[in-house]
Amino acid sequence: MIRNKIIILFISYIVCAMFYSCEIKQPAAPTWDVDLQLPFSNKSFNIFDILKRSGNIGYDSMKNNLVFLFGESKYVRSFGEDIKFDGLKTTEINAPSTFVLDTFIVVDDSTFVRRTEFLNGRFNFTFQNNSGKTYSVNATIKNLFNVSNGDTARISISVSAGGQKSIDFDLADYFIKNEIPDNRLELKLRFQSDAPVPVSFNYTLSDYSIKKIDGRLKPLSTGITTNEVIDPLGSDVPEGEVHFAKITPGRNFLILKKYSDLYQVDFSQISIVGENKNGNKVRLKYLKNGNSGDPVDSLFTLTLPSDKDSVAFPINENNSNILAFINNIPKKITATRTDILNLSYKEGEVTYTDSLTLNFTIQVPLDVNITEPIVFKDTVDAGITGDDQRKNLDDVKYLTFTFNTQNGFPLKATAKILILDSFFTPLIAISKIIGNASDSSITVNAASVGPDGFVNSVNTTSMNAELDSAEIQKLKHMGKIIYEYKLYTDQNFIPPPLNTVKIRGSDIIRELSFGKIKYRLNF
Amino acid sequence: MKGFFILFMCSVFVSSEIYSQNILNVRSLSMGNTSASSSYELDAFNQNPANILNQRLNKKSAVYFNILTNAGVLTSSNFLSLNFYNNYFGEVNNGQGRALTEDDKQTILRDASDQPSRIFVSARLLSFVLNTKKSGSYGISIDERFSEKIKVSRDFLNVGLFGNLINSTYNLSGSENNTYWVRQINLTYANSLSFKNNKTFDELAFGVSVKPQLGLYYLNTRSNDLMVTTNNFNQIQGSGSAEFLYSGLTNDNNFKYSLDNAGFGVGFDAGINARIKNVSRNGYLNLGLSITDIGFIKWDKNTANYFYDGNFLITDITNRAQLDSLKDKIKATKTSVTSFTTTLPTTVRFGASYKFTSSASKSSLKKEIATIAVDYVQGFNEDLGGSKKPSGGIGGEYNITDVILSRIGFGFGGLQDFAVSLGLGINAGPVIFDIGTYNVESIFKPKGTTKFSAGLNIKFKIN
Repeated sequence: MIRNKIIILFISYIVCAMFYSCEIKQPAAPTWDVDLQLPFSNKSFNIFDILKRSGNIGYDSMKNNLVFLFGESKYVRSFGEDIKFDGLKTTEINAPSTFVLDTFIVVDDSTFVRRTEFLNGRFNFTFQNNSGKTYSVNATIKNLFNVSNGDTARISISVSAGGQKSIDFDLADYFIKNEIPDNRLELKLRFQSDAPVPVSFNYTLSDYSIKKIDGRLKPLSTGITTNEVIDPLGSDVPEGEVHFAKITPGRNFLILKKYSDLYQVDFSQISIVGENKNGNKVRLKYLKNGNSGDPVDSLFTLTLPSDKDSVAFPINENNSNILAFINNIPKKITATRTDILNLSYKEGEVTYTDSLTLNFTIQVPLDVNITEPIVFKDTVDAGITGDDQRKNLDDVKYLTFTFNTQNGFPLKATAKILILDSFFTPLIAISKIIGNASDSSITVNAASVGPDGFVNSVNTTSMNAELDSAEIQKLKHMGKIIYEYKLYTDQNFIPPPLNTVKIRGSDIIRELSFGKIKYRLNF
Repeated sequence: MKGFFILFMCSVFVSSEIYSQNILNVRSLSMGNTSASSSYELDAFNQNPANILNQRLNKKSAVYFNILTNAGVLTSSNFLSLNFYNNYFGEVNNGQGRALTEDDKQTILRDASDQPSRIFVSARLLSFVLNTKKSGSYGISIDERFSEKIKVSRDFLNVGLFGNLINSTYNLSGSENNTYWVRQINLTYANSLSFKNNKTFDELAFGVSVKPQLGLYYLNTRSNDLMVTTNNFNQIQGSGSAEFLYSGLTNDNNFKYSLDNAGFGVGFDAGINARIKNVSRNGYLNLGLSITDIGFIKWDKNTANYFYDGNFLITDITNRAQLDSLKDKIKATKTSVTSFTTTLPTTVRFGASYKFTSSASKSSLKKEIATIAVDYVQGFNEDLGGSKKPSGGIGGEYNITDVILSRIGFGFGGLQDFAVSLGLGINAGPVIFDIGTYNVESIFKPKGTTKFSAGLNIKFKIN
C-alpha cells in the first residue's frame, strides 16, 4: 500500500512538472514584412486614343497601316424664295369705253415658260372713271389660271362715274400655262357703257418668286450664299504646328451635286476659307474655272451641267494650295458662292425645293513634321476607395518603382503624370519625382525611323524612383491620375533626306510603372 | 492563460477516444494503439463493440460511466509544436505579437510548407455501460467530434511570408482545408457465448453498435488548381479555380453551438472477441476483429458550393475595374446545391492479446500479471478525417501492484510512422485513472514535439 502511494506521488510529480514546463504564451498574431512586386500602372495610347477616335481618322491597311485624317465640309442650299424675278412697273393705258382690247403683257424678256407656279407676287389692275357715266369691264388673262379650280383669271367689274376700282391677283393662287414656251400674259378686256366714255387703267406686277418654272429660263443668279462648317476634321484634330508632307492622292475633291433634274448650275465665285484655332485664315486656291490649265485663284467657278447629277473636281498639290490649306489645321471652313441657273440658256425646269450641294472632302496621311507639340491628356479614375484601403497604406514602409516607357511613336514626348484627389487637387507629381525636372516632366525620345519614314524600332526608357513615407501617405487620397503628353518630331531621329515621319495605326506609346513595396502585415 | 492550457491539456488526458483510427483509448494509446482484443468497457466504444463487456480479471462491476469527464484534442503535424506556437504566435509583450525576422520566415517556410496539420477535438458528453448477468452488456455514449485538416502549399506560404518575385510561378494547388463537426450517439450491445465442448474457443464475445450521426458542419476542398504567375513588369496573372463544398448550421460559415443538425446519417460497428482454449494454464489468448463506422451522413442544410475563379490579370493596381474584378472573385460564387452524402471513415481492426495470470488452481483466484497485444488497423476511405494508410502496434501491460499498472507500446504506420508509447493505470476502487501517451516525446519534449498526444481517463464503476 505504501509502495502504491509512493509510485502515485512520483507520477503525479512528473505530470505536474511536465505541465508546468509547458509554458504557453498568450496568442498574438505576429507581424512581418513582405516585399510585394506590383504593377502600379499600365497605359498605352495609339494615335486613335490621342485623337479620341473622333471618326475623322482611319488607317490604310494597304499602305502599312498609315494613319490619315479626313474631313468633309458639306454646304447644302435649297432655293426657296431665291429664284426671283423682277416685276413690271405701272403701265398706264387709255381707251374709249367701247373698246375691246386684245393684248399681252411681256412678263420677262428672256424667259419663255410652259408653266410657272408662284410662291409670291401680286398682279394689280386699277381702273379709273373720270367721266360722268358708269362703265363696266370684263377681262380675262387667258394663260393665267386659278390653282384651286383651274379657271382662267377673270375681271368683271363696273366703275362708277368719277370712281376707281382696283383688282389684285395674288400670284400664289395662280399659275401660268402655255402650250409652247412664251414670255407673255395674254389679256383680253372689254369695256361697256351706255354712252362712250374715255377709260383709263393701269397694271403693275410686283417682284415675285417662283415655286416652279418649266421652260427656257434666262440665266438667273440665285444670290450669294455663305455657309460654314465647324471642326471639319473632327473635334480633336491635333493642335499645334503640324506640317503634312502631302495629301492622299485621289481622296480630295470638290463635289457639286444637285437633287433634281434641273438646269445647269454654275457655282460661281466660290470662296473657301479655312480658319484655325488661332484665327489664322488660309483661302483655298483652285483652278479658276475648274479646268486643267486654268490659273489657280481664291475665287473660282465650277459648273454642274444640266445632264449630270454630280461632278467631282479633284484637288491635288498641283491644282491648288491644298497643303497650305490643311497645314493650317482648320477648325472652321467657310464657303461663299453664287449659284447661277441655266447659264447655258436651255429648256428645263426648277422648283423652289430643289437643292444644291458643294462637298469639300479632304484626306491627308499622317506623314508629318510637328514643330509645335500636339498635346494629349488622359484622366483616369484610380486608387483608394475605402477607409480600409487607406489604412493599409499606413503599413507600407517604402515604395520603389520603375517607370518604363516604350515609345513606338516617331515622335518625341514630354510626359507629366500627376496624382490628384477626387476633387482634382494635386497630390504628387510622379513625373517630377522620376525626372527631377523643373517643369515636372520627363522626356522620352522618339522611336527611330527607317528610310521609309515609319518607326523601325521602339525606344524604351526606364527610370527609377522612390516614394518616402510622407508621399505614400498622400496616396491615401488618390482619386485621379492625369497623363499628359506633348508629342513632336525630333529632327535628330529622322534620317535625311526625310523631314517628316509617318504614323501607323499600330504605333503605340506604352507606359508601365511597377515596383516594390515593403508592406508590414499586421493582423 | 497557463491555467486554461493546463486545464485544456488535462482534458486531453481525459480523452479516451479522439480519433477512431489512431487514438483508441488511454490504455490502448499507451500500448501502441492496440484495442481490437484487449480494450475494456467504456474504452471499447468505437473500437470493438464486443469489448464493452470486457473487464479486468476478477475486478468486475455492473456499471461503468462518465459524464463530461472525457474530452480531448490531438494535433498531428510535422512542425506544429508548442515551441513553434510560442516562438511565432505567442505574445511577446503587452499583447504584441512577434515581429518575424528573415530567419523566422525561412524557418516557418522550411518546416510548415506542404505539411498537413491535423487537429482532432473530441468531447464525450456521456458514456455508460451496464453489465447484466443474463442478457449481456448495454452501452451508450454521446460524442462531439471535430476534425480539421489544413495544408498550406510551399508557394502559398512563400508568397505570404516573403511576397512575390518577378518572373515566377506560384502553385497554390496544394493548399486545402477540410473541416468536419459531427455529433455521434453510440448504442451498443454485447454478449458472449461459451463453448464448453469446442476444442478451439473457450468463449466468444460479440457486439454491435448503432450510431446515429448528427452532422453539424462540413467544409471540404473539392478541387484547387490555383496558379499565379508574375512577369518582369510585375504583372500578376492567376489561373485555375478552387471549389469548396459546405453544409452547416449557419449559411454564413460562422460556427455556433446548437443541438440542431445540418446533416443526418447512421453508422454501424460490429466486432467479436474470441478466447482460445487450452493455450496455457497461466494465461489467456484472445483474438479480436472489428469493423467500425460503416455508414453515411446526408447533409441537407445550407448546402452550397463555393467557387473561387482564379482567372484574373492585374496589370495596373490603380485600375479600379481590375481591382473590383479581383474583389468579386475573392468573394467567391456561392451556389446552392442539393443535399450530398459523405461516408463515415470505415475501419477494420484485427488484433490478438495474451494475458499472463497467476497460477492459482481456480480461475476465480487468478490475478492478471501482464498483457501483450498486437493490432493491425486498416481504413477504407478518407472522409471525415479518415486515412487509408494502414497502421499497426504492439504493446504490453504489467501489473506492478494490484493497483498500479505500467504500459508500453510501439506504433507503426498511420499518421505517425513510428511512435513509442508509455502509460500507467491506477485502479482506485470505484474510480479508475488511466494516463498515457502514444508518443513518448510528449513526455520528454512536450514543448518540442509536433505529434503531441496524451490521455487521462477518469471513469467510475459501481459494483
